[in-house]
Amino acid sequence: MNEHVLTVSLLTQAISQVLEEEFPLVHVLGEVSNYKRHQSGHRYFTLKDEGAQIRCVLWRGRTVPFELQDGMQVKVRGRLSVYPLQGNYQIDCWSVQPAGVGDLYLAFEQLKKELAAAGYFDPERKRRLPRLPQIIGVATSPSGAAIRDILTTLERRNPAATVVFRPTLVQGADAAEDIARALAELESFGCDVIIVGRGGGSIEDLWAFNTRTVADAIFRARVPIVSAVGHETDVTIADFVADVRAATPTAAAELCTPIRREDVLLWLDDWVERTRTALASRLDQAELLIADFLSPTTSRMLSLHHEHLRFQLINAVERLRAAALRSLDTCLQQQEQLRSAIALLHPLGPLDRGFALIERDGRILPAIEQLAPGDQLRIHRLRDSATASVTSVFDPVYQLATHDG
Amino acid sequence: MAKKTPTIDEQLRRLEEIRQQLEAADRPIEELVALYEEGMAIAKRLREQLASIRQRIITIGGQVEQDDSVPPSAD
Repeated sequence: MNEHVLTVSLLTQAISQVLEEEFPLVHVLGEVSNYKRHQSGHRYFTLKDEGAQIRCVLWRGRTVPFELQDGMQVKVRGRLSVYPLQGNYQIDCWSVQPAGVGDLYLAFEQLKKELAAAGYFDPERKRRLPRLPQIIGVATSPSGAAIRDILTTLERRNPAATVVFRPTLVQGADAAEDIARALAELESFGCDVIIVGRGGGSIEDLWAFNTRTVADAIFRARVPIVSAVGHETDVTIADFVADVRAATPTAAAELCTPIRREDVLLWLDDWVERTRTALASRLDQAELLIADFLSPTTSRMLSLHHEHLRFQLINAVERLRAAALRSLDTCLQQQEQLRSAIALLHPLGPLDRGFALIERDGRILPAIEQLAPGDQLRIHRLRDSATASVTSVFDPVYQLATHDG
Repeated sequence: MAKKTPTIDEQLRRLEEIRQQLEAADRPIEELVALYEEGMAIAKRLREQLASIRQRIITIGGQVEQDDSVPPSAD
């Protein structure tokens, strides 16, 4: 046997050939350790179990729907390849799946946990949908049933709204990015609310709605977002982040038109009725006031009032008359007194009391004139008169105490 | 989009305001009548607007190479 000397390169090449030809496709179960994500986008890790370990590489562009972590049990699918520069071999992975659970499910759970922690699902940040949106944005596929259902429902319920439709990729590698762009475009168009979604499909079909890209786009949106992904039973990350989750595209359209055209028309009927009643009752009130003012009752009240016044007047007149009568009496009394007084002063008054008047030479003889014998006198009494001759004169018998002469 | 004419929602809100003021009836009758007339005009316009309206669909941007080709959603 010839001693055949090989170079390192040749040997490595031979090993490489053997390994790569022998193991073009392997499925390997193991625990991830020493996981590293290189700046270039390539990912390196070691897959190990109790007895051995093997290097693994996941080239950039090979997407794994979840983030690998040390300690994770995974199943890799790939081929063996040799790296001559370092003299080692590795599994060139095409895909990595979590062992046990579905990888997409794991990715879903991971992202959900992460976003929940970041506050993406907080109920406080959920916005209410406008009750009568003017512009409704729709981001979905132009060919699916979803757009048809949405447009029919919107038309049926509130044709007054303008629908802005942004045809959108909803599955495939570029879907997530396109959905995010669509949301931004619809928002900048001035939509009051945006419906984003698609019809039902497998978890892979719906996957774009489970990506961080779409979650971020919904989270960033400044207008309310209604998500409608798949059927009732399909729940995606987008549904959690959206302001409202609709079970179906039709339900989403209904949520965006809480008030239908018929509702508005009915409301208008009601409005007309109520305002008419309100105004009528106000006018009725005014009319009542006027009618009341003019009513017999009021007139009666007015005449009653009059009566009262009249009564007061009569009363006053009565009092006045009484007063007048009283003063008249007084007056009469005074007159009587005066009359008596005057009567007392009558020159013939004293005759009443038995006195007599003496006349001499045709006139009443004053008290201060003297009598002389031989005077012819005439004596006047109350009921008779006589003539007399003076025979003698004497000194006065009666003297008036107060009359000093 | 510039909002030159009041939106349906704005008009409905105005009508609601008018109704409340009419029902409160704490203004002079002249004002109430004026409010009523304003409201009736709005209501009439709205009714016509709603009766004649057709859905407007605007399609913007986006290039689509793929569709989600699914049967009509079951709802």
